Formats: sequence, C-alpha cells, structure tokens
Amino acid sequence: MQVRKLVDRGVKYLLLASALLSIFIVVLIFYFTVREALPAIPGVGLYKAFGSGYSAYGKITRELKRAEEGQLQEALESALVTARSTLQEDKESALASLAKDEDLSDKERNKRLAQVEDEYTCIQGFLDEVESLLGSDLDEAQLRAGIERAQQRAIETALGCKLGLAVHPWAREVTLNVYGLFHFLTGTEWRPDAGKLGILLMIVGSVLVTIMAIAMGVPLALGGAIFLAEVAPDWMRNIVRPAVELLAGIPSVVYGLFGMVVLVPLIGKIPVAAANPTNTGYGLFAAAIVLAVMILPTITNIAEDAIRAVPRHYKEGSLALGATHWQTIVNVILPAARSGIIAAVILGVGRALGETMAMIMVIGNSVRIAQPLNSNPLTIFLSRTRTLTGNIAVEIAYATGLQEDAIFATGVVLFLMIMAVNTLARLVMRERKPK
Amino acid sequence: MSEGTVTVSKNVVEAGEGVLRQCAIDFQDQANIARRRATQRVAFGLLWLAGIAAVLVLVFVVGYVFIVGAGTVLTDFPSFLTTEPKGGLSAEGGISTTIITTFYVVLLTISIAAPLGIGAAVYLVEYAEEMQNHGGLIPRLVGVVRFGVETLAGVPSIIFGLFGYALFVSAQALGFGFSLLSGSLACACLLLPVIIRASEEALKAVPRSYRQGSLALGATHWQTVWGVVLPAALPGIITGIVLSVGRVVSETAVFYVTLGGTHNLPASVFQGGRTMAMHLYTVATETTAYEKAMATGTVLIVTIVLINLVINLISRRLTAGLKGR
Repeated sequence: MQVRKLVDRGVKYLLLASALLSIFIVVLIFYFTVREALPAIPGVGLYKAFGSGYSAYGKITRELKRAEEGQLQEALESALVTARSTLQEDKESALASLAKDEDLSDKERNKRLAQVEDEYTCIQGFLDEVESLLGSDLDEAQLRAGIERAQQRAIETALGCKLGLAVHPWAREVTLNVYGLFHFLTGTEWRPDAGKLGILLMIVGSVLVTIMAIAMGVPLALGGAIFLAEVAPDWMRNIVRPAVELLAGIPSVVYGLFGMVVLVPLIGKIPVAAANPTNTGYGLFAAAIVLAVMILPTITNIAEDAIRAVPRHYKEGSLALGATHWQTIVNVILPAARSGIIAAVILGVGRALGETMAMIMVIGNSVRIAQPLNSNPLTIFLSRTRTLTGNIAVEIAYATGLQEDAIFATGVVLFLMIMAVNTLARLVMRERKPK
Repeated sequence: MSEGTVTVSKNVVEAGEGVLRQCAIDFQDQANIARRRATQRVAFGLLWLAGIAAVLVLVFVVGYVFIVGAGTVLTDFPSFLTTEPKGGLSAEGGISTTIITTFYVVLLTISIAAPLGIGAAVYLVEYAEEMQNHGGLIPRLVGVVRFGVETLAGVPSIIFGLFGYALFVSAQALGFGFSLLSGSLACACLLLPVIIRASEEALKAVPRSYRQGSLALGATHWQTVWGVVLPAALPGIITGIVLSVGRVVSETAVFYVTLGGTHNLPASVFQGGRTMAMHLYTVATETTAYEKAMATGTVLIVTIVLINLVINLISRRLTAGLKGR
C-alpha cells in the first residue's frame, strides 16, 4: 500500500515535469532568438552612424575582444596600422561611388560628401586617440578602459553629427538602439557584405504576397465552405471533405514544385516591354498563386466548421418564415457564423506569413524591394523579392557576426507578427463562445 | 430565459420581420417570388462553381505533380526507390538514402516528442484539476502551460528551425552540428502541441464512469490512469501520433536549417542527412532535373496518403469500439 502511494506520487510529479517542459521550450525559443537578435539592433545603429568608417572601427574593437592577456598592446598596434589604411580606402571608395552616381542631384551629392567627411573625421579622431593611448605606456587594464571610453566618445560624436544633436552619455545606449531599430525596420537595402541590414524589403514582400494570396484564395475558400456546409449533397461532402483534409497535409515543397514547373514558365511568357530587371516568371505573382492554393484547405475546413456550428433552429426559423434557402444563408447563417469565418481567414493569414519553402522556391529571393519592372505599375506583381521567412532560411547556414544577429532579429520580427495575428484570431474566436 | 436565448430570438424575430415585409410586397407582386427563386438559382450555381473550382484547383496541383512524377517512378521501378542519389548537379540515381533518412528522423523525432507530449496531456487532463484545489504555484503553472501549448501551435516552422540552429547546431550552444539529433530535437518542439492536443482530446473523451468504477474498486489514481483511462484513450492518442508522423514527413523548413542536407546515409545521430522533402527541394532548386523532383514528390504524396489511410482506419475502429460498449 505504501509503495503504491509512493508510485502514485512519483508519477504525478513526473507528468507535471513533462507538462512544464513544453512551457520551458517556449521560453527557450523566445530567449534564444531574442538573445541572438538583440546585438543586431545597436550593431545596425553603429554601422549607420559610422558609415564608411565602420570597418576601421571594427578592426580595433575586434582586437579588444579577441586579444589574449599580455598581448593587447601588440595586437592593437598592428590593428591600428591596418585600420588607418582601411579607413583611407573606404573613404576613397565611398567618395568615388558618390561621384559616379548620376541619379543624385548636386545638393544631395554635396550633403552626402559632407557626411562621408564627417564619418571620416569621427573615426580618424578615434584612431588618433587610440594611438596616443598606446604611446603613453599604460598597463593593460588602463589601456582597455581608455579605449572603451574612446569608443563611447566616438559613438557619441557619430550619433551627434548624424542626428544633428548632442547626445548625453546616459542616453547614448538608448539613442543607439532606437536609431538601430529604426534603420533595421525601415532600411530598404540588405547587403550584409556592405553592412547594410534593413529588412523593410522582406516585410513588404511578406505582407504583399500574403495580401495577394488572401485576395485570391479567400473568395474561393469561403465559397467552397458554404457549398460544402449548405448546398452540397451528402455523398459529395463525404468525398470532398476528407480530400480537402488530405490536401492540407501535402508537403509545401510539392506546391512549390508545381509553381516552379507550371506557373513560373507560364508567367514568364507575359511580355513586359523595357523591363529592368526582366520578367523571369519568378516573383510575387507566382508566389501568391501557390500560397493561395496552400491556404485554401485551411480556410475551407475551419470556415465550414463555423458554418456547421450555427444552431439548427436559426435556419429552421428563417425557412419557416418563408425565406428561401439563399436568403437564409445570406441573412441568418453567415452573420451567425461571422466570427468563426473571420477567425478562419486570420489563421490563413498566419499560415501565409509563416510559409517558407514554397516561397523560396518561386518568389525569386532577390534582395530588392518589390517595385514595378517598367512604367506600368501592375508589373510590381512580377517583381522578384524576398519574404521574412525566406531571408532566414536562405542565409542562416552561412551567416556570421552582425549578419547572423540580424537574421535572428528577422526571426523575432516574424515571430511578433505571427503572434499578433494569432492573438487576433483567438480574440475573435472567444467573442463567439458566449453566444 | 438566458441572455443568449434573448439574442437568438431577437435575431430570428428581426430576420422574420424582414421576411414578412418581403412577403407583404410579394402578395402584391407575384413576379417577386420568381425573382427570389432566380436569385437563389444563380447564387447556388455560383456556389457549386466555387466548391468544384476549389477542389479542382487543389486536385490539379497535387495531381499534376503526382501523375508526372509517377511516370518517372514507374519507368525506373523499383530502381528509383532502391538506388542511392549521386548528388551533385546531375541529380542522377534514386532516392533510397533519403527514404531511410526520413524513416530515421521520424523515429527519432517521435520517440522524443511522444513521451513528453502524452505525459503533458495526461497531466493536464487527469491531474491538473485536482491540483487546482491545492492553491499556490501549480495551478498558475498549469495556466502558463496551456498558454504555452496554444502559442507553440501557431509558431511557423522556420522559427523552430532558427531556434534549433541556435540551440543545437551552433557551436556556441550545445554544438551538435548539422545532425539527425539537432533536426529531430527542433522538430520535436514543433510536434509537441500537435501531440498534446490530440492526446488531450482522446483522454477527455473517456467517460467519467470508467475512472469512478476503477477508483471505487480501490485502485490508486495512477493505477486508474494506467490500467483504465490510457487503454481506452489509446486509439485517439495513436491517431495523434500518426498525424505527427505525417507532419515530420512533410516538414522541410526545420530540417533545411538543422539537418545539413548531405545525400549520404547518416551513420550515427551526430551526422547530417537529407529527408525526402529536402531532396525534392534540393533537386528542384539546384539542378534542372524536374522529373526527378516530381518523382520524389510522388513518393511523398503516396506516403502522406498512406498515413491518412492509417488514421482513417484507426478512427473507424475507435468509433466502432465506442459503439460496441
């Protein structure tokens, strides 16, 4: 008896442990992605603040982190030499590319030139300060502290001249983070090798492809759901319903493959005059069609359940009063199933935002914000672009340093978007329950 | 009369008033009835069209890949299934190693996720309620667990991949590298909510009288759960697990960033590999051998259909069993 009780108790806590593990995993996921993502924000801010001087600055800070005990002085001395030459090269190439850029107005060009000059002076000042510290025979701890102070001053100067305001020391971190976050979310260029890490183009890509897929998929899915719930004869429903459920389980790569083999060549045949870049068939339009087909089963299933959950007496009441079946559907059944149908659509949006493999197969993945190929604005739909999910999948395996951090930050943005969508769906569902 | 009923009656009355108004007009204008019927006929025609179009689109997309791929599979039958892929840009060879790797990954993932998921579900259904009365920390924890399961269910798979990469693959954390173990652990996290939900449903469906009968005979709580409740809920739980097998087979994003992707057969859980779905993706995007990708797609579709048949069989047995009681 004693043993049985003991077992009873042991098992209870074992099971509790396994239940707690699931919440532990959520916390882990959140902790890890956020931990990896956070350095990206001030990193992007720093890069934006230092501009062409960033890599010279990075050479010093890297040694500060990496150098072994007792060798800091030597490591910094050699780093200083390379940093000076890098700075000179970077400045020259920045000036050269500005001079070559013909799209710029003179006023804009002068502004940019002044900016490069500012960046150069700022980092030059930092390097001078490092040199004087190295020359003044300090011990290692003092040297380290001195350079860290110099770094902070350099950041303050850079932020100050970028934002046109004097930055108080206590506000430096905050400013750097806000500045970085702003540039991360609104930057339209993603060129990790040049330190340009803005994800606006992926946000636009994800949102556009989702909107298009919803616009194409939802009418068909809702029509299908009403048909299955109200109009279809029983024998037909018994065949169609399991078939739709089965199709919801088909791997997304199969849908993506169909897009590559059938849709892309078809769309590639659309003639687009004077297109830059040319129309290859890959792009938003192909991706949206594939996505619309993929969310069809999800939305149809949930919406049909919602329509079937409407109490029978609603329908009977309406029919008994002489309304036709169609009038009953439009005026009684659909309004009563409204929240369930809306929730189905929102869940479809969540699925569309999170889809990865099918998207990278057909959307083209180029790091360009979606824009018309020629003067016809409709050609924006043929634009090759990238989604948030695609950005993660394509680059995570080889990304390092700031780029890797930025990929994790992309994941956090996606996570937050999906959480917002799912919470909305849950709220809409909950509204239905009390009735 | 409850508030709900009042709103319901109000709705019906409102609808009724509308219809009555319509009827009054109809009385004067017989043609109106014909018009209503015509509207309905047109609307139903459109609904038929939408329903059939929705099904046709889906069947066409999947059927196209299936039929074109089946041609390749059948001309090379059975060598396509039994030879190894050559790798590289040629995409020559069959898919034997990817089938075996898929099997390994399914086995490993399920054996990680199933015990945890079923354990959590048993706790939530059988023990959480009794704990509610204890007060203190545990009821709050149970609430958090429920929230966690709901949250996990909506997270897209690439996030699990990213997380798996950071925690299992990356050398800065556990450092398993691109391996079966990393991929399975990441995918197990994805499966947990699926298994927990399915098992919870199955456990809740077991009638209360079963538990009461067992407890009345002097069995302890755990003896009741183990000897009576779990056997009764088993078909439902197995359905959930078979469903998860389907998820693993069709999952690509998680494995794409955690499994490496070599076409060789992994010799241990610390080596990478390539599942069938990954093979389809790799062949389609890195080579021009679409017919091989389609053939892999056919094998995948057949696998998913088989898994669905198994689920149907189990649920049919489940309903038959319940009726028999």
